[in-house]
Amino acid sequence: MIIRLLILNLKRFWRLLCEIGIFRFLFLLALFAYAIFFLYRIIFLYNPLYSLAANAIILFGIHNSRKDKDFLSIIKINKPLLFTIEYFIISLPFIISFMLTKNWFAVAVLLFSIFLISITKRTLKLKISKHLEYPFISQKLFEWYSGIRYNLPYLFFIYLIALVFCIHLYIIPISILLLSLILPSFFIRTEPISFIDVFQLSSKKFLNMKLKYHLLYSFLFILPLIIIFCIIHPSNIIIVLISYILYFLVQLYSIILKYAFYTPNSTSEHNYIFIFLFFIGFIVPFLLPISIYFFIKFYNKAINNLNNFLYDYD
Amino acid sequence: MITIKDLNFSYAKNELILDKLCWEIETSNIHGLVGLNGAGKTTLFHIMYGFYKESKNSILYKKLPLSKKDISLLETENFFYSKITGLEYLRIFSVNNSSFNINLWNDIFNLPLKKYISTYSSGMKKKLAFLGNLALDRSIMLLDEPFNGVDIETVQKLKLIIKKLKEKGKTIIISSHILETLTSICDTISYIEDKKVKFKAFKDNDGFKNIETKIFDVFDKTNEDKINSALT
Repeated sequence: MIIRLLILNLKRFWRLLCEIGIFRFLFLLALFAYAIFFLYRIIFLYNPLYSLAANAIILFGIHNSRKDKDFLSIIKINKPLLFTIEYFIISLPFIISFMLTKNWFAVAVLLFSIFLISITKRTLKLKISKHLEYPFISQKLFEWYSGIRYNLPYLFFIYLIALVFCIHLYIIPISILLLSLILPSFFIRTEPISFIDVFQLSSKKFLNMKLKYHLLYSFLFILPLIIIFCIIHPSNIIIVLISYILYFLVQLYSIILKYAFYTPNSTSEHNYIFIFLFFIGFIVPFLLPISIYFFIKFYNKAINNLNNFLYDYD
Repeated sequence: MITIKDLNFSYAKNELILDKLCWEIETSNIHGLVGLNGAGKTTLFHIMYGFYKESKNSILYKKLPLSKKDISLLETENFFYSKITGLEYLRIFSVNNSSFNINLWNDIFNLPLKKYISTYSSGMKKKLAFLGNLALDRSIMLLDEPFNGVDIETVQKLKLIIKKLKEKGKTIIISSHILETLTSICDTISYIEDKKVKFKAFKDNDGFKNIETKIFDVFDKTNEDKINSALT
């Protein structure tokens, strides 16, 4: 049964790759190889403890949020064994990196952490007893209601760290970059057609409305951080400006991606891959033209895709 | 008049779901559409609502292609955006209809609008989605299985609202696989089978006795044989 499920998961992964396309798949493969090389260097240069901690956090996050635990209980599968195998596969870049550095102790610790996470039955839930009202958020950007409620603890934590340690030059810019990666998660779930039909706008006007509102809200969201940075580090405004430009572009791209691949009532997790690649494109300069190319391509694709649903309003 | 003429539709090549389907529907009336599971009722509703651009010209409303501006759709399974409240949901739907009074309408159904929709029962979700459709205030309302999962009191309320909407000039098309839910409110009932609208019955003095006999006689005969052979 476990082998069947693993094959099924492999099939699902393969289908996701097919959706992404062969060129992007090869690109991802190259990125994966680069990740191993990058981790190898980090492990070689620094304390492997960071890598072990990062891997454990990633695995725990996956384990904590997976929704198939009840289903696996019903079909009476050996869950710890299945989880161990899956998490072993996910941890391969770290394991290979440790093996390359012949750090067998770290390999053992990592395998033990995989085992511990796999046998953990409890799910950690952050409960906010009373839901918060957001009367200042427009109905045109309903994603923000849901997005803020889902991510409130993380947003609050990053904001708090940024404020407490704002005296350090890079804390606020790094916080802005982290926030730039959380906000796109607001747009991973897609709405029913009636939600976009209700505005009675053409595809271009609808997309531009969403962009306008999201950019406005996301700007207002980090404005206090920018102001504090400008007051404390007036001679280094360029740093916060660069991080804001990147933040701004990632927000723009997240909306474009949502509607470029929009199908009603679904989730489009693979958009994270594009956002990640886009983000990398601004850090690794030779990838920048690719990022710009996809940006323009997906903007047009979003308009065409929305036109399938909003053609009556042209 | 809404006219559907020679409508073909398939999800995959050579697998027609609807084959030269023709259907005429009078406006300002309540129309029922019945058929077995998988007969194509939902697909037909999706096409009418405009899910598929290529079918746009097959459906005419007042002699022009039917536009989304004129129509709303209550789906069988309604999708709700996570972590939003009922009130926020209805505010989205009434964004272009300031005359829609959420509180007045909710007095009929008593939904806990300040709670997350994820805490609602399936019947409550159905009522909320129905209110959302009302907020859109379109002249044609497609209701796909509106009575599924709601209690008997709500069924009566829905029927009453639908009748009142008809009096206001709305055209309402209701699909159901339970004929009895339609006979008391519909002016016509159409039966979809074999990728076509097989027949359309008008309410006569006996209600819809003819259509009931027509459909159920066939069902009973074929099914009884199958059940008997399965039991032996």
